Amino acid sequence: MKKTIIRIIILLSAVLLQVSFVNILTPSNYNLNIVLLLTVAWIFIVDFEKIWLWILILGILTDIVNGNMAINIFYFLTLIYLVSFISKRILIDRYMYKLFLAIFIISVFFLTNMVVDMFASGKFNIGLFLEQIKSKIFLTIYFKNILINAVGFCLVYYVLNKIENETTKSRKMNYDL
Amino acid sequence: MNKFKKSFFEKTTKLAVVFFVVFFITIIWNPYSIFSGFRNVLFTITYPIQETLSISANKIFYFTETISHIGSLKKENEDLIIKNTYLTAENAKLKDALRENEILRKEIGLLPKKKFNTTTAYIIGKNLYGNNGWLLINKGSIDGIKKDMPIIVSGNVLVGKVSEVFLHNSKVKVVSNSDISISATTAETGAMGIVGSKYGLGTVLDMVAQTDYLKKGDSVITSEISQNIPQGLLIGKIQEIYPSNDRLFKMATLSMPIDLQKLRVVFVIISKK
Repeated sequence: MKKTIIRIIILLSAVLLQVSFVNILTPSNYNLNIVLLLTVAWIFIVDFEKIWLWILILGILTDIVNGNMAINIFYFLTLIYLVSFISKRILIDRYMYKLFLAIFIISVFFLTNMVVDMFASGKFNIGLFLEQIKSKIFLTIYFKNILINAVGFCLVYYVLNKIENETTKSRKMNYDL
Repeated sequence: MNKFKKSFFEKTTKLAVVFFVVFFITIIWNPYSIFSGFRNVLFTITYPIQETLSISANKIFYFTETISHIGSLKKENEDLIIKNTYLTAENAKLKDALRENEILRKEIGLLPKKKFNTTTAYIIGKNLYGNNGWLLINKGSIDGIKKDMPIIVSGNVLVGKVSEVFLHNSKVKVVSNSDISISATTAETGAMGIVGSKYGLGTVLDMVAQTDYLKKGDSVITSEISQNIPQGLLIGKIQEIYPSNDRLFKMATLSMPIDLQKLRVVFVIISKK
């Protein structure tokens, strides 16, 4: 029960922090995506079977707040599947491996985000996409975004790991008592 | 082996069912009223937290801005003194023109220019990344805010329209949002068109007839046929002019007069005076 309440608080905090804190603080071209970082960190810390439903709820919550249904839900579902697929085949125990995988996911996320935006505005064509990703402005913003999110990931991972460890510890203590 | 197969089958079925249910609810059914209701409850309950978070974010933003600009403050101050002297002289001239205008209006029996009743609102949340930019303001139905009310800043610069109203706060779709289209005209030449957002180009003035004249630097303002939006609000200035894809119309990219990211306070037009 305690774990459930803590996870609900984590979900709500992430969404509210994103909308009312991070988005106000960061310039419009740069997007520190707390919700995405939380999803990735959660998949690394907690077992896939135990966490997928929470990530699904996080996706629904993000979409409800943003008012564009289904985009984040399917991003996150694909993400869960992708990470669990990779981690089952490659042993990811070391922190550095996790960080590299997180950076890879973040970079793919920003590119797919751009494609989805193009589709949504009915302007998708490969030529325009290639032209955009080759431009110096795009590359500067893209790599700065990856850097900001990589730093953010370390912070989110650290905090989430602490919370998850604490709740598991207190649960064990309750069982022992 | 059988046990493993059974558990794998159960897991896959469970995932497939959840995936189908989510797909059905969010994409096929997509009940706007339910999601909107949930959004209303969520934004109402979390309003105090959002306000606290946005105030803290603003304080940090201003603090970092001050620190980063500390070196250029002296130069900026000198520039501002020169500008201030120039503006004082300009202001005196305008006051004189205003008095003359009032006298003339009285003489030919014209009413004073239309003004609006506005209410001040603070931005407590935003998402300006991508093509679906929106702001969350701290005024809602309790303050008399209604859907489609225009949002302005600095007297007459259009920021967007109220898209959803909650109890204590409202969601505003900004001009650069791809869902928005506003009837507009150029102040200098009177060319008519529709302001909207296009991927890769940003905010554009589209559907301008080939016979209409567009010029770089012209101001684009709301036209008299804009629904629920008063005439004459500034949207942006013309940057580049292109023919539309079908070559039947002209199109122009617009530069925005305000930086939405730095915006902290806006005004909601409640009614015309």
